[in-house]
Amino acid sequence: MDNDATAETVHNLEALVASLTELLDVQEKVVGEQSERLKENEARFREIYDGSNDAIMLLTENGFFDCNLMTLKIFGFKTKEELVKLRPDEISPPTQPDGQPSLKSASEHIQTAFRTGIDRFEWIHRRSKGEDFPAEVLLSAFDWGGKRVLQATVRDISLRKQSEKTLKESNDRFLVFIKEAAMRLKNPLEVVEENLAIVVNDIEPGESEPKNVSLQLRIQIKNLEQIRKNIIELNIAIVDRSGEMSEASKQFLTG
Amino acid sequence: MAFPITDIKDEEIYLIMASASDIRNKNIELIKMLLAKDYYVLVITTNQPYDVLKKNYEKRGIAMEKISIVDTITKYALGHDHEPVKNCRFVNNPADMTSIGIAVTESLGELKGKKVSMLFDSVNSMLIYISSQNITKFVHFITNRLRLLNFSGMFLAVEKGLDPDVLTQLTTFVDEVIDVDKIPQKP
Repeated sequence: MDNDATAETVHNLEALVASLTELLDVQEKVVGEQSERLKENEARFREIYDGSNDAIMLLTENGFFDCNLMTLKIFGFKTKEELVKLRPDEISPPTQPDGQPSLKSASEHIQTAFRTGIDRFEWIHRRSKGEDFPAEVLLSAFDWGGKRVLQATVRDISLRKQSEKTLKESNDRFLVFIKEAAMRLKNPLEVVEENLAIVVNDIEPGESEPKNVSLQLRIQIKNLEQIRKNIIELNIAIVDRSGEMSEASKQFLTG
Repeated sequence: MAFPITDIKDEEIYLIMASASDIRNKNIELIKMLLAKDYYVLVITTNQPYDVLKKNYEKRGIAMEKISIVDTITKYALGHDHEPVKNCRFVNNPADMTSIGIAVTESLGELKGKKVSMLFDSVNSMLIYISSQNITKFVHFITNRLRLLNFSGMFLAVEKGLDPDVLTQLTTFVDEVIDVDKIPQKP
């Protein structure tokens, strides 16, 4: 090989090295960017995971292996290690409101979620200090790192349940009030009607003394006054319950 | 049990259901029946005033000697005191259960040792003035008093005017419920 040929080969090799170096730089840059994106994604996921207002726990058939920060807060644990050593039924009272043991029932829900991919249900959980609370649980199955896992999302619905209970109690009280009001309107009007009929029947044959007729009529006036008060009392209750009523209507009903 | 009730037991308490139009007649029939059985009768009236009751009783030949009355309505309707009457206590207001309770207790106390029955006329007219919850408490109070003194008693009521839940509660305080509208009338 002459000198020219050697120089050309060296030149070509240098060019190849430069190209490969450039290619490696690009690849490194791409990998770096991908890695950065992965880190960003992981950080974003972690932010969502830990920023959730719901408790999110990850579990396999063997039990929990991870949870977010809200889980610790809701259940009152200091560390994830405290949770992961427990079974789902161990963060629940021994039995659920339907009388089923939590162990059996939790196992059934987990099996259902693994089998169908999803299971949603209401559950009573127990905090670390022993306080029970109602929860809405969503179990979602997915593949992760080559194994099938469940994400358990637990929402504390104590406030919602309390509101529902308060509303139901309020409705129950209102129903009792309506029944009472109906009885204290229908029945008294019948009493007054009969009393007036008696007065008329006694007047017609001239059997009544004016003094007694007057007294009987006074009693019916008093009865009617009281019935009117009872109606106003009922109307006040109706107005209190009815948000959409004009002021004029409210005054008419309660005045 | 047939009406008029023929075999009432000395210390039993009854809830007697009648139609609204028949309540006044049932009051009179029951008084007659009780007097015929030598009872002293305490009438608690929340509907017919003493003067009218007395006139109706006398018109039907019922002597007032063995009848005492707690009248919850006259004074309230008149707006002032009724002239004192020997066998009647006038209560200020039909909603004043404390005063009614005192008047009933005093009247029953005066009859202690005698063969006594109480007639309450009526649950329905009292419902104009007090809640069913208070009616229930009141009936419970009266039945306790009667049982302590070994007296019998009858509460008149119009069935169709009462909430079934209230009726159920009232029936727990009495020994027997008699629905006179469901009893076959003699020809």
